[in-house]
Amino acid sequence: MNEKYIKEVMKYINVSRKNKKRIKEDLEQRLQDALFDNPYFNPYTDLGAPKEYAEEFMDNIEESHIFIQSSTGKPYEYISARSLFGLPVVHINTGGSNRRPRTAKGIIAIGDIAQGFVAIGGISFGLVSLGGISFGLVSIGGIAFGLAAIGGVSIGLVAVGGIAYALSHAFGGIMNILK
Amino acid sequence: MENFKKQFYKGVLELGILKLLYEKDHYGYSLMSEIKERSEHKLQVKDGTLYPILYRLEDQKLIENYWETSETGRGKPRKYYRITENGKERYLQMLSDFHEVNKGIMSIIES
Repeated sequence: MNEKYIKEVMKYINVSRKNKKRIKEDLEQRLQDALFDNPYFNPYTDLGAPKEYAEEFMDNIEESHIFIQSSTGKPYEYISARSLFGLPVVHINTGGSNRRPRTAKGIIAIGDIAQGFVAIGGISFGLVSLGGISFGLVSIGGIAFGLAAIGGVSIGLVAVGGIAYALSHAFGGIMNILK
Repeated sequence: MENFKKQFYKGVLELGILKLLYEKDHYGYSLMSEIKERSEHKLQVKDGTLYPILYRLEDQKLIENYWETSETGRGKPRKYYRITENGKERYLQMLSDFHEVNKGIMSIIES
């Protein structure tokens, strides 16, 4: 019964791997101790429903890693503890809707809209940028704009793509040098 | 009011936990029992309140954990928490702050 309870609680714990490990470890021990103390111990009645038990942890835990996940499992956000130049080293923010896309800003940014040194997203802006529509020094995407642009449609100083428009060098099915 | 109690409780609980660990090492369940007993059942700390405080204290290097198998206990290794030297210093500082603030607030309330 304890294992089942732990499994159910952990389902609702959305924290960093480090804290997840600590919670699981302590919960396993906590239940063993309670059972040792009282052979009739039942986590479901003595500690409450797994979801409520987990929520109490989530309300009180403090961490620089914040994981947000909706009940549908779609929106997802991760912010790394480490930062550089005032930006998190990694920021992932995905799962928004077309009307309200979620924006990630970080050294490495992954999001519906991503802005970063390395940006990966539906729409991405970065030194190195990968995306549906991407803007960057080096830009790879469905539609790519950049000094070096690689994409279905690419526009740049150097452009490689199905349709490539370039100021300097263009390589592709349809290529044009813009002058 | 409920929010005040919750915030106040969390703050003083941290002090209480450091005090108990200042006296001796504890594992999570024993801390909970000790808090309940020593507070004459006035404080009943929930797991979801206690453990996050322990993690925070641990992250601040005020306490640390180690595993030990008790000879008289259930025979399986347990994770114990112990206070560090930094933790002892912080506890004494917190205790002094607590007395000072408590004294000041009581003066206001009773004036």
